[in-house]
Amino acid sequence: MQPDAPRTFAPAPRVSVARRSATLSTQTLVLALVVLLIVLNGLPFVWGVLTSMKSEQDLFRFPPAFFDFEPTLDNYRRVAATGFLGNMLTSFAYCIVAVFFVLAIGLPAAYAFDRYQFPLRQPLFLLIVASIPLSIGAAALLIPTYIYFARLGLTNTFFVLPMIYAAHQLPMTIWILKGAIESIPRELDEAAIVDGVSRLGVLRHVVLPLSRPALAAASILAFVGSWNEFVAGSVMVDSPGLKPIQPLVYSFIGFFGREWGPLTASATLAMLPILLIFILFGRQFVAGLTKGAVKG
Amino acid sequence: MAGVSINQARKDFGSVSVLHGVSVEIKDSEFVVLVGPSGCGKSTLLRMIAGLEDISGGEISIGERVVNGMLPKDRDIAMVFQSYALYPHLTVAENMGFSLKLKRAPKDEIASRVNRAADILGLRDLLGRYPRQLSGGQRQRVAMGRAIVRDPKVFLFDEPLSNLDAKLRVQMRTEIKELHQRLKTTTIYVTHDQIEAMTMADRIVVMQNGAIEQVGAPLELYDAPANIFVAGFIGSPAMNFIEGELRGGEVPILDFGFAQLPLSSAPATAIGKRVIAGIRPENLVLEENGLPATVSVVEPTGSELHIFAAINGAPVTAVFRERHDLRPGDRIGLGAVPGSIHLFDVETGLRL
Repeated sequence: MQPDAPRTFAPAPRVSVARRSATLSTQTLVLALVVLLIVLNGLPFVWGVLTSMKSEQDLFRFPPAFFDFEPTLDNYRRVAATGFLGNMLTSFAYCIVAVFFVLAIGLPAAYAFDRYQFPLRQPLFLLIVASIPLSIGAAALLIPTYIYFARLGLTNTFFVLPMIYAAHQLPMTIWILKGAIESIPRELDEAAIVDGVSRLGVLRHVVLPLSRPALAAASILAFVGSWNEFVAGSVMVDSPGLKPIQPLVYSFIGFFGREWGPLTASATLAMLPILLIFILFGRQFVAGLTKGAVKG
Repeated sequence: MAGVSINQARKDFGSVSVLHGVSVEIKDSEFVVLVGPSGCGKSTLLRMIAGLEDISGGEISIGERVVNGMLPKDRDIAMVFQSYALYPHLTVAENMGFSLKLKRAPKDEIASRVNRAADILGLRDLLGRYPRQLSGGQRQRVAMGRAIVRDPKVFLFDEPLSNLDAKLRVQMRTEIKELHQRLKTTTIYVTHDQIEAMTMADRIVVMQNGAIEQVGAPLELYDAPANIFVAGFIGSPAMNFIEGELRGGEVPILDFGFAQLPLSSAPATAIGKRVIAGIRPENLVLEENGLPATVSVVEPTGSELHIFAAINGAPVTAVFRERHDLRPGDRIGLGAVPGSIHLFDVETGLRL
């Protein structure tokens, strides 16, 4: 069994009885808000999944049927026939490679930002934190990035998207991991150094095992962010085999009107890995983000 | 095993100097305690010996080798940290064997050395546990076990008992001392607690403001403190200080203005000078024509009676072995045991 290491350092949260009863009305409010959010977010999702299983006739029936229709997998068959599943694998590979590089670069970077004193450390870190929203709204960077990449001959290659995804996700990863490393006592580094490891050894033997929850959280965020990326995916590669799935979902909005059936079917398929990840790793994700992992 | 020689060691952080050239010779298998108030540079000196801080100037040798610039792992030392610094993700056995594993020692050798250390410290039943499943005292023992397993030339302890409760601290004090008597490994131990220093050390190094105030055996420091700082720092309750003038005559006399105290002897050069007289609390006795004092607080500890009083407005502490019926507000006379008064120069603070 793996010990849940960072728990040793985190003090137990204390909530007084007085505070608990005072928050009762706030709790009701929060609950109502959560229900509202679930409905707002869940409704399009459910509607999309239902639509993906409707035949052409059921789709355009009026008044629309919620559950009263013959479910069919025709739309999924049509999507599969376009080679969508192969592109799902391509997308998956892009994301895995991106996550690998994000962690391989992010962990040492976060360690250095927390443990080393070097010139411009503070401004550089601020720059990294500031570029978190920039990487999410990467459309703004699209034109310059495209021009540079085209000049360097990097467009339409199998490695261009993992590169861009890794770059997009790196700031957030460094920020999360730095928070986790902050909570690892420096004396542990020193004990390991006296025991005979190098600085890199500290990273491997102490920091890596102790920041596992944060590494999991950062990986999930990076994976999901890369998986959902649309703009770079639709511009940087042209060959059908290199296309990630998000632009392909969009391609079902064709010249001759919208093919709602295949569109919702492909969108449902595109959501599956994300759902799967959160079902499998949701706990670690929350633990990694809450256990002193995210600090400013 | 080896001695440690520190020669004019200096430490600067930028333009701030925290150690101004300290020199100590630590003999093979000696137990030396570095003691002083926080910020005196004792931990910095220890970390310089360990290799966790650079040496800005001077030289530190372990055995015959100068270790300036040498990596911690090559110095043949083991360190016990204040927070124990056990690896939370490793079991007790893995924690203790970590350094050997890094050296790629054979598995059975690691096991036998870990077991031997576990036997010495009574950790045999805890080898499979994780640090979070241990009490403070057990963690402390594991941290020592990790040091023992390496069989180093020098043990370095950085305030290892500060995180323990009072009772456990006394117990661990004894255990560490016993361990040293058994292993005879040269030990350098840092603490701010002078009682730890007095009870454990072969020799004490008293430090203040990045410099060494005095080096000596515990009782040497207690009986003949080199200056007012050491006199006030070593001993609990602390020594009482009263300023007065030293007068000559048939018997030298300390004149406080409001009262006088005869001395058994005094250095001739100090006659006629302003001095500070230091008297340890246990050297004060009740005496009808002694210094007039007003009792403010009475603290019976059972074995002793601690009296807090004021002599001419200055606070004084007295410790009596015998029981007296004293109450706050009582007026008493305090005298000193003959030959027990320490004299210090008012200006330099040095012992006269």
